[in-house]
Amino acid sequence: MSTPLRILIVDDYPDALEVWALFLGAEGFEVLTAANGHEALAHAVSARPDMVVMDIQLPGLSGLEVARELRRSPSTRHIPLIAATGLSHTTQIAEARSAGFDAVLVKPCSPDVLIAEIRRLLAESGRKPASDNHS
Amino acid sequence: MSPPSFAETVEHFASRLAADHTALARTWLERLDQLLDVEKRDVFPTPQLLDHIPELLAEVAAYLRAPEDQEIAANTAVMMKASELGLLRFDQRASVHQVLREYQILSEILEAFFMRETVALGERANTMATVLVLSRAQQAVRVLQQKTVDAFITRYTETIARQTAQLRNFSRLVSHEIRQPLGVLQVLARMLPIREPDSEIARLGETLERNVIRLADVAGKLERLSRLTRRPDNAPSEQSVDLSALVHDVAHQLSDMASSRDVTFEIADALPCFAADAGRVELVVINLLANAIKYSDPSKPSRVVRVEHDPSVSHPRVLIRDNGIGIPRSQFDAIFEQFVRVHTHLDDELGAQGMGLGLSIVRESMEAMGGIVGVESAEGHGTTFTLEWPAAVPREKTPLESSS
Repeated sequence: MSTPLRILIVDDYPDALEVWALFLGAEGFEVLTAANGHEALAHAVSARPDMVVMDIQLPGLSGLEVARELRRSPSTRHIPLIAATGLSHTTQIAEARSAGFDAVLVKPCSPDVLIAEIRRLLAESGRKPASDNHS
Repeated sequence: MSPPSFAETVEHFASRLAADHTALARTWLERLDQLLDVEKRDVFPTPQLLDHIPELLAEVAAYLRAPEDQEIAANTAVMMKASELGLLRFDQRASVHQVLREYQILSEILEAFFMRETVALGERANTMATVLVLSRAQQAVRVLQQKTVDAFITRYTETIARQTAQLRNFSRLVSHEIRQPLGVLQVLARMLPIREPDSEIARLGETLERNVIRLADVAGKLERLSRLTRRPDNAPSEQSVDLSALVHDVAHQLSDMASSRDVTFEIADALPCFAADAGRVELVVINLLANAIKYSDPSKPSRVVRVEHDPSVSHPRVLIRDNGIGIPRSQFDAIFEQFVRVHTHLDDELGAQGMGLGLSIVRESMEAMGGIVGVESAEGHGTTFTLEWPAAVPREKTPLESSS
């Protein structure tokens, strides 16, 4: 029996954290949450998630800064990063990619799209995707 | 009997105008009341402003008595009143056209007043003095009119800048404040069938999700729409500008100003259509056409402003040519600076009071659009302003455009 894959969700909007945690939990993932950039960095180092899904516009330390920091540190640089942003301008998307995000999703993003991205990136990084427990 | 003296006649007209200024102001308001389809109190709604009009006329009366070389523009109190009038008429949503018409009516009322006074004086009137008084009064009204219109256009410019900033904030509001809760609703809707599979709740969850997706789509369209007027990364926002329609529209707005100086517009048939910030293009065109009218040359048999397109280059290149008084070569750079005006000594003669802001606005707007403005001029012959916008970049149609 494999342990469930661990996903860290970062968003400053508490309702968003709650529903994504519910949804990804129902999809078979173990979910950690953080409401700001500093909390996100602390969790990423201590809990070693298999994946981080992060809002870019965060109070204090922005999502871009968190991504750069995670990419710098040897213990976290391999973790796949997905950005979720309310900003859809091409330059903002390019900026997120150069900060180290593997994928950029524009909010509101459909649960199907997020799950597909998570599975794709997990497969690429050689981790075993979580079992699809309801189909 | 000695012939009537020049000074006595001037003094007579000046004192009659001073005595009657309240009654004449009332006549003006009554004429405006008939002309404009609004209540009198809506035209000049404050007691302060109702005071303005008689005071303007009292100052014109004082101006008639002043030495011949003195300009009414030197009277800062009356110039400020004329400015305030422009700001007020803008706030009341009047058009430039209306403001010009209001002053034209004032001019007619004064003309009629001096005719009556001349007839009443009969042989006691000094003819030279009568002619002088009439022309000085008309000149004063032209200067006040220009001051009012300048204030009006300045306020118009500020308003456009403020509205642009508001739209930018609106865009942020849409992208963040609306998308956040929609995202939550979308996930919740998806949770319902997972929690209660094959139930009525599951079916309702699907309906909820479908509608949330539609709302998210609307939010996306709204954001793209408001981005049309915002400038991320200092790039001008783009929309499709039909320059022909825009120039004709501006020329129409300025038609009274043009006909009062006997200036005609000749607008080429094939002006380009291109992507640019339409508000900025309008500001550029209105400033350049108004300048061409202001600095037209009264000594020429005909005064013409031509708007032409240069098809020899692939990017939009437009020329605005006039046969006005021209600009000295040494001033070509300075005219684009704020508050620099070349022809201050001619202001009175041309009735061309200005603030010296117009051309700095033109250059700033062109640069904000990634374009350039150039000038060529010969004193006594005329001036040509050249406007060039960058070549069109192919771009994706936004869903709003493709669905309409």
